[in-house]
Amino acid sequence: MEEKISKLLKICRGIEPSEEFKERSRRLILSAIPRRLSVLEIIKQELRENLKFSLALGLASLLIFIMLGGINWGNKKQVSNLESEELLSEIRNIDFQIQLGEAKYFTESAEEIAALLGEIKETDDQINTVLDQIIF
Amino acid sequence: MLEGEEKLIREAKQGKTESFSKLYDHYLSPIYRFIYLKVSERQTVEDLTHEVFLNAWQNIRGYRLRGFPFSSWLYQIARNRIIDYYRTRKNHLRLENIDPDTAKTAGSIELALDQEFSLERVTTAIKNLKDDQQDVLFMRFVEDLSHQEIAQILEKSQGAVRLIQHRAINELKKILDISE
Repeated sequence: MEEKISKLLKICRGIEPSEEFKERSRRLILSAIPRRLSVLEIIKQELRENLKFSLALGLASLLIFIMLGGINWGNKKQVSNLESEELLSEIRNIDFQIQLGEAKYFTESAEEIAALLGEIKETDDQINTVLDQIIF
Repeated sequence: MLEGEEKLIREAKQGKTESFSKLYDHYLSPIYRFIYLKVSERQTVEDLTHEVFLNAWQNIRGYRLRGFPFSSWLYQIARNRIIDYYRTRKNHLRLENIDPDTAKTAGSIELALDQEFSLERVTTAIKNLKDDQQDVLFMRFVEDLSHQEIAQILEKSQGAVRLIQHRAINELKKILDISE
């Protein structure tokens, strides 16, 4: 498809200016004197070029700074998490909390079970008394 | 790119008319064609082409070599000049009203090539495209410029130029009713 369009557009190469125009225009153009750049224009041009360069350099530096800063911050965060002492104390604390929780649970549940067993025993004694009265 | 172009530019910057004359000879036709595809009347095409080269000659001392062909600068001047022309002009001519004299030279080539499509039909179809699509198609397929050069002239990325080219081809295909 592209080839077909390309071939088709090549027709436009047939468009040419007339020789008369070519010569007349050339004569007129070359009879004019090229404009001399004023000092202000030269300074402006130089400034524009230098500003472009400085801006590009500044942006590149900023980008590198941000990237390096980001990497450094990420590493710090990861390393602090991986410090063995901190990790160990964290682990110890967790264990301690779990053990305390378990001890509290066992103490409370043992008391409750003992109370329940006592109640059951009392109820059992009462039933036996009632049964003895009925039978005998 | 013209052989020894940088040397010619340096000399032209020093005021050497022969060097600018060589640049003029080399780039006149492409710039004339570029303007022709956007403006309908021969007189206007000639006036604008003349103004582009006059502007280039008068401001050649401010031109800076950046490794791109001199044509990049000329196309930029031409684009700005065409924009100014349409901005200041109150009544635009219809695009179909192409001056028959302008197309005369091309007409004979067209016959010789025995093409399926006439120059008038092709140019009218191109004029129906968006400005950037016209520019990309013209520079790529008529003047054989690289995507990099076109990107530099149009101040766009190469990817954007390729995308515009793709859309322009599809659009032109529709306008000219060409099958795959």
